[in-house]
Amino acid sequence: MTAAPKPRLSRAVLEERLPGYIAQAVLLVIVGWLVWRGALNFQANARALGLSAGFDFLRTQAGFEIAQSLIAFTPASPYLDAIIVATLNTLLVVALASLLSTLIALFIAFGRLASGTLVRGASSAYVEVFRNIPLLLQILFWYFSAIALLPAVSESIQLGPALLNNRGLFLPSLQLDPQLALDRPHVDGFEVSGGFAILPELMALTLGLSIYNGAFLAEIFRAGILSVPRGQTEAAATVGLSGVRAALLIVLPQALRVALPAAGGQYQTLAKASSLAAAIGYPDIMQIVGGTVASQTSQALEAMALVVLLYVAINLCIATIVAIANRRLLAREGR
Amino acid sequence: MPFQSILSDARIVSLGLAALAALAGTARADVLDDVKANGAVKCGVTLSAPGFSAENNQGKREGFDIDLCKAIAAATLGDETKIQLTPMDLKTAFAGLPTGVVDVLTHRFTWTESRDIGGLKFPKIMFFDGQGFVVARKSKVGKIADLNNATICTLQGSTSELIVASYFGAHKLKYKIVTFASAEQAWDAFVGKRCDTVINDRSGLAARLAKLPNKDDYRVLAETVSNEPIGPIVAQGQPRWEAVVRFTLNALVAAEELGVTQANVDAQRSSQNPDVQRLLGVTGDFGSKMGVANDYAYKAIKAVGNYGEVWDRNVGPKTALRLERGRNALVANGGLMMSIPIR
Repeated sequence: MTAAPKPRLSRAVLEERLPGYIAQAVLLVIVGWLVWRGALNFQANARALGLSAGFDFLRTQAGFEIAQSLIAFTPASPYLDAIIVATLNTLLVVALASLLSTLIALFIAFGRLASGTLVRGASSAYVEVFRNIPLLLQILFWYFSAIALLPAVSESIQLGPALLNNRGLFLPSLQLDPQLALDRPHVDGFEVSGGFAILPELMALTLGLSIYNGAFLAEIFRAGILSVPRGQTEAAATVGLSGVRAALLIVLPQALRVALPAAGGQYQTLAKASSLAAAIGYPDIMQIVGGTVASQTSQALEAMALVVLLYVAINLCIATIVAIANRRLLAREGR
Repeated sequence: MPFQSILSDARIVSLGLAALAALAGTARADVLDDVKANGAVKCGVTLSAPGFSAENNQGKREGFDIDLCKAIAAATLGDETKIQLTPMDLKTAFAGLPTGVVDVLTHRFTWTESRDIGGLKFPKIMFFDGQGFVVARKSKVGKIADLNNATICTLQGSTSELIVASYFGAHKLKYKIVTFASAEQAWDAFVGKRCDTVINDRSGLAARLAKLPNKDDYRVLAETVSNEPIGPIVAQGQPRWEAVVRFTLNALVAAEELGVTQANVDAQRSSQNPDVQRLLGVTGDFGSKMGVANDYAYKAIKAVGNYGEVWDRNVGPKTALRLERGRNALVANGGLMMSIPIR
């Protein structure tokens, strides 16, 4: 057996491509040099301006409290922990709002394509209303109306074991220590003690983001559904599938092929828009890192660089997830 | 509702400029030279704090902090109208000052060690403040100890966050905190009953209470939980400019001590009192040594009046804020305010 001959560049081909290679190499050198000079200059000037002192502050004690933390956090924790808490808070609201907005979007998308005039009209109205009002306005509306409408702690609304008031929704939580028991929330002076609290800020932000992005997602899904040939629905009906089952089993998987890339972009928009949290006091990345950490340490550039990095990282993760989902979808299609 | 405070272009612009300046530019030359070349003093001011920096009905910004900016413009350029005001929040202000977005912050920031060694220089204290709490009268809270388990609204990144953490920690009180991007939103959330109390500088609380139609439903707790020395800020490494800001403010205080007012400053130029003569530049050469006109203090006093007049006009007992001088009275009257000797 002879080894396959290695593909070699013939002289003619090389001569033809050489100018291109040289141009690319020169461009690479120039861009590299610019980036390098820029970085050096940045460092020198930032130090001269007293703007940059590095990231050593991450290990020092934060000294402030955060309203909502998914991991243990006290004023004695370092800044790094505060940044982790803030990132988890952003991820939480992005996850909740993505899920909720997807559900809303599916209902509205199918609603806009339904045969009933009322359903179709209501769905269209939803899209046109919520898509055309600035998101910040919607979030402030939900927040301040929630605070205004919900009763004070002493007049909490009892929903089974849960309590609802203007300090949040308090759900019973499982208590492991000293013995397994249900920790029921109860009014204790100013505050509700026990249980697990969902802050009004989280509720308002999730609601605002979901309703707004749901309107955009609905249109993306509708486009996807419309791209599925009518014959598919008719065929599904012929084999005896009900409307809902046909939609979920036949139409939706095919619609996603068209809708997913665009929907991915919308989820990224949602993640970035979650930074509007700062307006209503939800302790997210923008608020804690870009606000409190930046001013307490007076290292605005480092803090803002961290904010940029964190949002880029979150969005790249979303892009990756969407890409993987898309590849799987296409692979299944190919089978 | 203060949307512009969140979408403030100033924030983005100044952060961008900060990054750009660090990327491409060189450190600032001499700010005093820059100011003279530009023909205007660029002041960073609070977005909205009635009495200190807020727009009046004609859309013109006025207040205590604005008067200080005017005094600096009068001292350096001889014309108090040559000011450019940039409303800034914490984020933009601290990034914008070293890069030259503004020349000076005539703002409501507290002089702290971390800010000072971090490159923000406070030439002189213009306001001795302290933080306090406002509560609804209905809540029957009479002292801070009654605030155990309370929810507290405040401004994110302010010294209040740290003060609450250390004060409540030291007194073994529990609390929950909700922090907002602007003081207005924190206040709105408190008035909307999201929080049991709101913490801020007492002057700031007075400013916001003054605007409420039902201000008698609220009260400020008597305890003051911190000392807040507040003053203008300049970037580090600008000794000439720092001196100009320091001694302009100083001149306003000295004028009050010496009985020089906006109305009598012209007559006082022929005063036989050597202290007044040095203050107004009739004798001595302090102004020209500093790089401004020798009668810089005369121009500043002529523009805005002395410290007491600035106080009375903007925040004093006859204004909506009804602030007594208290700690800010002259030392001769039992307060803390005094001038650096002009000699």
